[in-house]
This record gives sequence, C-alpha cells and structure tokens, in this order.
Amino acid sequence: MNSPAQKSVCKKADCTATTTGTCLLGSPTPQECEHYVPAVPEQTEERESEKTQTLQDGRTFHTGSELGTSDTLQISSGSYTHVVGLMGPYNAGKTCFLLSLYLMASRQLLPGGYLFKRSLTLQGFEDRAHRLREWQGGSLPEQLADHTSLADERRPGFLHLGIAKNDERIDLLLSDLPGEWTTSLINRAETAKRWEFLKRADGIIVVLDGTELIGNKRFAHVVSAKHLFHRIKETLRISIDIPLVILISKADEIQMKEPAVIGEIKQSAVELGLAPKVILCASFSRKPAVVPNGVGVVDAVEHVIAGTLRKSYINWEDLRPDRNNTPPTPFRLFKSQRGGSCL
Amino acid sequence: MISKTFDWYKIVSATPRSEAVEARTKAATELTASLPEKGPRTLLALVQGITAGFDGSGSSEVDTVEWLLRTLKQHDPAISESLSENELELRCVAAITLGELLLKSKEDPEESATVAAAAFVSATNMRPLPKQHYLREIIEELSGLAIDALETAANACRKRIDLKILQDSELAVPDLPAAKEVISQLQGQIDYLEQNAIMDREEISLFWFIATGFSQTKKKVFSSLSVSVAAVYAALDLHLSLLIPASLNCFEILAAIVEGKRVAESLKPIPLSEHAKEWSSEEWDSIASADSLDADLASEFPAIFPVIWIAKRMQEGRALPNWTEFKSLTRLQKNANLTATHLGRQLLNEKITVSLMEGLLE
Repeated sequence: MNSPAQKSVCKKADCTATTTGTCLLGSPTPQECEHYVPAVPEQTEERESEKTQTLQDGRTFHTGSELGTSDTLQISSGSYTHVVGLMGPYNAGKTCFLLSLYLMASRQLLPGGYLFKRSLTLQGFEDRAHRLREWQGGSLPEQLADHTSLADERRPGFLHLGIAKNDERIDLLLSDLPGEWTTSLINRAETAKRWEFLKRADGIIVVLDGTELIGNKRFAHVVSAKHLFHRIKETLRISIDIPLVILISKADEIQMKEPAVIGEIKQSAVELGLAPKVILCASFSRKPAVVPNGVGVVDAVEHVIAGTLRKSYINWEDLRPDRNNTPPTPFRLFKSQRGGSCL
Repeated sequence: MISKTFDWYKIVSATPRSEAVEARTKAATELTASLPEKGPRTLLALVQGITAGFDGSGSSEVDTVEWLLRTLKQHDPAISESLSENELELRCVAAITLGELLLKSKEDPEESATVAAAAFVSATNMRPLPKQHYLREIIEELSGLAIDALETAANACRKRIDLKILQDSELAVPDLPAAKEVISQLQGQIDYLEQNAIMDREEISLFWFIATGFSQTKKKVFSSLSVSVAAVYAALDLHLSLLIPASLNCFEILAAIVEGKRVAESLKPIPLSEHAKEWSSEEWDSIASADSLDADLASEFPAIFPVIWIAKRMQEGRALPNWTEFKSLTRLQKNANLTATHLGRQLLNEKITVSLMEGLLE
C-alpha cells in the first residue's frame, strides 16, 4: 500500500481503507471520506507521552562507587553542594585524606560538632577503605588505600559526604582523581580540560607528601607545586579568591613540623594572588599517642566551607556618594526657575 | 539575567551541559515574558525564594514555585517534582528571571522591576551574604542590578520638567475650539508645574527635617530618643516626606539624623534583639499598624520585611517575638549585629517596598 494510506486510519468500524485503499462508504478515494483521518499526530502524541512517562518514571541507581558530574545533579539540584577539588601527585595521600574524613564521620568522631548525615557513595568509600578494614592492628601497612582508578578514566569522579553542624546541612562532593591527573596537568596544559569542574569548585586542596618535602627530591616537588599553582591560575583560570589549602600529608612522620620549603611554595602561590592556608595533616597517624588520627582533615574541609567572605552585608559605605567627586545627584541645586541662585 | 545562565547554573551543575543551559535559558525567557501576567505578590515570592530559599510555605510562594516548576519542566522534563530535590534549580531559574527583569529596567524604569528591586534590597540589606561561593556571586550581582534599577527609578521620578515659556504678547483666541486647545495646553503646563512643586516639596521637607532634627511622628527631637528608637522614627518620618523610590542620598540623610549629636559608644553595632528590646508599644504600632498592608505583606514575606514582622509579632503578643520562629521564617539571626543606622535603613527599605507594592496592587 502507498504511504499516504499508511499514515491515515479510518475510524469507521470494519473499513479496510487503511490496507486496501478502498473506502467502505464509496468515496472515490479514502482521503475524501470524513472518517479517514490522519493517524500520525495521535501516534506521535502517544509516543511523546510514553517518552515523557519514561523520563518521569526513570530513576538512576548508582553503584555507589563514585558520582560522575551528571550524577551529582541528584544532590545539587536540591541544595547547594560544596565541590572540593583534591590535587596532588601519586601517593601524596589524597585518598587517605578522604578515607580519614569518611571513617571519622561514620564513627561520629568528627571534631567541631559535625555529624554524618548521608552519602551516595558509601560503597566507594568502603571499596577504598578495605585495606584499612583488613588491618589487624600493629604498625600501619606501607600502603593504606588502593590508588585511585576511575570508572571512566576521562571524566572526574566524586565521593559524596553529607555532614551537618547545628541545623546547617553541608553536602561535600570531593573529587578523587588519580595522581597522574595532577602530574599531567603540570606537564601538559592540554590536559586542563578534564579539570574543568574546578571552575565550580568551592575550594581546592593541594596535597603534598610531607616526607617528600624533607627528602632528597624536595626541590623537584617545590618546582612541581609552583607549576601547579600557575596552572590553577593561568591555565584553568580559577578565581584567585577561591579557598586554597596546601595540605602537608603524613605530618606525623615529620613530627608535625612544617618542612622548610613550604615557605617558598606558599610564597609562589601568594605571588599569583592566591591565598593559601597551610595545614599539617595526619590522616592515619603512625604515632596516634603523639599525633591523633585525622588531625588537620576537618580543618582543611572547614577552610573550604567557610568560603571567602569579603563583607557580610550590603556595603553602604561603597554606595555613599563620593563627596570629593560630586556624582550626579537626583536633588538639583537650589536654583530659581530663571537660573539665578536662591542661596 | 539570561546572558548569565551558564555561569549561574553552576550553582547546580559543576559542568553544565549545553542542553541544560539551553533549557534554562528558554524557561527564563518564558518566565520573564509571562511575569507581567502574574500578580505583584509573585515578584515578592521570587525575591524571597532567591534570597532566603523556597520552602513551599505561603500561597504566593506555592503558586510561584508551581509556575517556575511547570515552565522549567516544559524544557527539562527530568526535573524532580519534589521541592527538596529541585529547590536550587528553582532558585537558579528564578534568579535568572529576576536578573533579566532588573536588567531591562536599567535603562527604562518599569514599575514591577522597581518593586522587585526594592524588595531585593530590603531582603538582602541586613542578611549576611551566603557563604556558598557561587550562590554569593549571584546575590551580589543581583544586588548591584537592584540598586541600579532603584537609582534609575528614583532619578526618573525626580526629573525636573521644563515648562514652555508662554508668549509675552496676548494670545489670539479666535474661536471656542482654539480656546479649548489653549486651555488644554495650559492645564498640561499646570500639571507639570504641580509635579515640579512636589519635587520641591520633597526637598523642602527634607531640608526642614535635617535642620530641625525633630520627629513629626514621635513629636520629639531625635537626639533625645534612644538610638534604636530614633532609627525607627527617622525611617518612618523620612518615608512620609519622600518621593518613592528614595534615592541613595536619602539613606545618608537617615544616617545623619540617627547619628547626629551622639557619642560614638551609642552607635556601636548591637544584636537585632537588643534593638527590639528598646521598642515600646508606640513603636510597634507605628511600624506595623494592625490590618495594614505592611502587616499583611510581612506575614507572607517575612524574609523581605523582617523588621515589620518583628513589630507585628510584638504588637500581637505584647512581648518580644519568638526568635526561633523569626529565624525559621526569615533565615536571619536575632544576634545579627547591626548599628542603629543599619536598622533604620532596613526599615526605610521595607516601607518603600510596601509603598511601591501599594501602587502596584491598586
């Protein structure tokens, strides 16, 4: 049958015009019959409705390992999320930082009155924590957490942690990216694209291995850190008022003392206009009696949450007319209609 | 502000997809176009939602949330129906819509935009800026637009009208139609003259207000009142003398009146609740008389009219308000430190917004 007949249907019962092209009521062509009506709009509408239904009914179930940028909408559409970018080379201690935060939250050990509320990536935290779970006590193993590997190696993955303080709810989306991403960014500007999410970050935590900063290769680390800050500002064009933390990890192994080179690293960031805060951190202390587990972890998160408040209210001082440079004023000068001064 | 959709949508999505930005652009365009058909309370509901968040309370807010959601869902059906899951989405599209309205009003003042601008200034004046970086950027940008829109409207209503110079020689009026035409022109000139006289009256009233430092409402000199009470009457008296909306100069006049002849110690910021403790029933009644539009609007939009809300509650309960209720309705703290001048400016902003709403509701 030709296509026009296929796109129409006859509403008359028993009429076969749709398939035979012959009208039951004797019209010369089916198209001339009043009962022969287009079928396409109805079908389209139906399909549209089905499509809408599917979209409305559809619900994504995550594996819970990590959230991609589009998965995060499930949280961020409802309330503000603090996106925290963790940067640092391989083995710097980024994942340990995340795990320390998670384990403290899950055991209600977060200092400062913070309480665990929720997480969409519990499985992700647990997967990363399995080495720690297997630890039977005694000295800490050389490697506490598996190094990060992403479900999709081209896109960033986030771990979600919802905490609360008083009646303030805070949702954290913490990036957990392989150290190679940071190294690539330092070495090749072309890889900056995958750090695009940092343009929406509420804070950046640059994790540097404290033991490396006092070792033989410390100057190489200083140079890398300087390049990284340069990339953050010049290549990624991140706003300079973003809260920036330089987190010295494994600080328990360096007696909680700032490595001498930190001054130079910090200064390089300051020269770029950034305002870094240096925090010594021991995600998992090898000497818990001397340096408590998790020291510095919440400080870093708090620095990001606090944001950079420049002022608390509408600044009326800024709006006050500059009396030395008289602005146009809606009040005219006291002049008579004829132009002479009244005063 | 539709041109900012991509940037502002970042509060919701870290890496916004083009389709998502496009959907919000279309929704905001439609919302801006259909805004004039909505009642003036929608404007206030938008402002309250953007500055303090939508919580689904109050009939105006419920309607506004529904309006925002339905429009947004036409372009992005995947948006959740639940306010707990879409609140930031709605806040974002509301901000874009309001920004567009204010931006359009920058050159040519429009009544509804002036109301929205005044309400926005009123809602943000004593509200701490959000700590959340990207939300704060939106609020700051909208504040700038609101101040500009108000200044433009204030200038427009104070723009002096030039009168035509009438001919010295006697006008020839040959017939009745010509006479009517001349009279009509003359009437027009008289109207202009009257408008100029109103502007003159504002200046004269303010001049006397500054010169005497005397409150017409309280019938006392300001310097004899406690600073928290003086702030209230400075705002109320100024509101009576002003052409609405006020220009920024008027807020400086308020500062001069409140701060004049005071020792520095008395001008230090104190908690909002301490200011309220200084008020008596006379102040409550003067700020929000029962069944007034002020009281009505403060009940429905406490985040925009917090000072009127406090006075209303004090009037109803004959005592200080329940500060927990205040916090939950306004998202403001009772211990927010404010100078008396700041408090007076807040009340003046609220009164100006009520007056503008009155005009729009008529």
